[in-house]
Amino acid sequence: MAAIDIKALQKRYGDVRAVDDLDLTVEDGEIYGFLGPNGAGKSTTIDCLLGYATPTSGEIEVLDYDAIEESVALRQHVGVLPEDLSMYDRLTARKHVQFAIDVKDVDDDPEALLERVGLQDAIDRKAGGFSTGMSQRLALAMALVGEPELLVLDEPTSGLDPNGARELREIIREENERGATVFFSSHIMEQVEAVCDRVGIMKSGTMVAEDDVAGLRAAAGGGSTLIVTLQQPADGLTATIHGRDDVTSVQADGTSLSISLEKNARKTAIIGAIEDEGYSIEDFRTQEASLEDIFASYTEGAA
Amino acid sequence: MSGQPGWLHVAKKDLQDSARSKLLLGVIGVLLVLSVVLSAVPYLVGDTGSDGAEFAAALFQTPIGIFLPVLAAMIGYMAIVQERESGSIRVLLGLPLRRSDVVVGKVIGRSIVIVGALLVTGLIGTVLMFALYGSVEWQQMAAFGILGGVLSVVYVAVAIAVSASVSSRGKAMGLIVAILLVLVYAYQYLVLGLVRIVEGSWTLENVPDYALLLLSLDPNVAGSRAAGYLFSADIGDPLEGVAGESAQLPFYAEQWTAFPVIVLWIVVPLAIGYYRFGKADL
Repeated sequence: MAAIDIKALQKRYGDVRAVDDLDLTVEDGEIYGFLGPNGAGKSTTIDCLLGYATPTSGEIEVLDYDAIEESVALRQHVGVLPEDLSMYDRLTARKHVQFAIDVKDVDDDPEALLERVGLQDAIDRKAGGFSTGMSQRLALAMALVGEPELLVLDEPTSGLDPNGARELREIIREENERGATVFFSSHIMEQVEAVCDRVGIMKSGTMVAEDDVAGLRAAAGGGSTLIVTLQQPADGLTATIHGRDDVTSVQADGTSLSISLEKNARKTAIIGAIEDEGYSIEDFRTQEASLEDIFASYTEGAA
Repeated sequence: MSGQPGWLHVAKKDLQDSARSKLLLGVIGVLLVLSVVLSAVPYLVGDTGSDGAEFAAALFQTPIGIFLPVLAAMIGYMAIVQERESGSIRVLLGLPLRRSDVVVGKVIGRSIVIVGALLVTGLIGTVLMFALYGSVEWQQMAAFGILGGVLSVVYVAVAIAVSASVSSRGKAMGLIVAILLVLVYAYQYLVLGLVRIVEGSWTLENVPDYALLLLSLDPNVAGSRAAGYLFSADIGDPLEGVAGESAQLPFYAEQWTAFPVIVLWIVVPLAIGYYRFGKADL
């Protein structure tokens, strides 16, 4: 069963197509990373998914509910951490979580949930004094109320420090092990790489790539780089190396040489070729294309 | 799904939240000063005994008609649009709540806030009257309580309807100020002006039926007539005399029609506000 099934979703604001003919499926039990630069249409998609906005056309089915017609019934089974959220300044963290518990009519313990998101020291403090990160944690605690079947987290790491982001990933894994499907958006690739089974990348309102992290890496052209440090200036080598079939580009910088490799390139062959030219190699290492590079290769450039 | 209806959760939460707001303190402050000053004025100018009590009670009518709509509007006009601007509405509607739950819950929560403030301050004024004059015009004070309550709830509903209808605080403020100016301060003059144009004369006697109908739609008139109907107090039916002596008065000249008018003032604006809020992209 698909936890989320979006078909031909369109959302126009006047002449602007925020989401343009989007198809997206998230399988039950999956952790799905929804990536894209700001303005790509991620939040609009999530807004349509949660009933914050009405799609111009298309179908959205979530947990077997029609997300447009049966939004309220659906939200009983979903935990939501919305983007650009804000809390009730005059209510304590406990009151916020208790409110979610009351509305969902479940028996959770507000203190346990707040401890889980790291707000144990602020349980009875008013949310008016909370930092962005604390508000984000509080919203996460509210999202966890009632053991939802699906967690929808829109940019959940914004405002969190690296430690907070790590704790968030732990909670996402725990929730997933419990059986929850997790759909989480980010504009930062590395936030999703560590936890996501599958990643979809959106750009200009459509999906430009969808795969697991390894698959995306492969599809983006392998993209690893061989960095060789020589005992002498490397300038003379660039032409020879660049001429090889298994090399896409070469850059020399003093005695060091960065060689971008084709997918099937064999490093030993290239090292051998350098030595054949009479150069002595002091050191070499390979660098995987960073996920940011892959992300950039999909989202930059012409639409 | 949920044990209690969603609007009740929203109303409770809104009550908890707004009960701690400075705005509410301000509203209570204004009502308290008003209540104490009006109660004490006759005493201060030398009227004592039952004369003073009568005088004091009579002083309440006009301030109620002017202040309560403004205070209720202040309490209501930000209720929803502020949550839309800040983003807390997304937290609220991430939970299994309907947008109608939000509108109804807010109207109930804020109505309780202002009616509560009205009751408390009105009681303080009444006790003060009793202390100063030894007697209180109970029926009349109760009638003013009804008038104040009606105006509070009507203008809270109108203000929340405005709040639900627009996407920014600025628009909400502009709209509610315009509505207050027209309804509270200009309405009767506008009706009179219409009569002048149609009939060619300024008359407040034997006004034509359409003018009677328009005047009876004024929330303040409706509130006064409802209070008069319930307490047969000397709050005055503002339409008495205006309608002339004709035996064949239209049905809306009868006092009971004030009640459906009040209901309309609550329901119609809220229906419009809900319609616009219901299809808005948040």
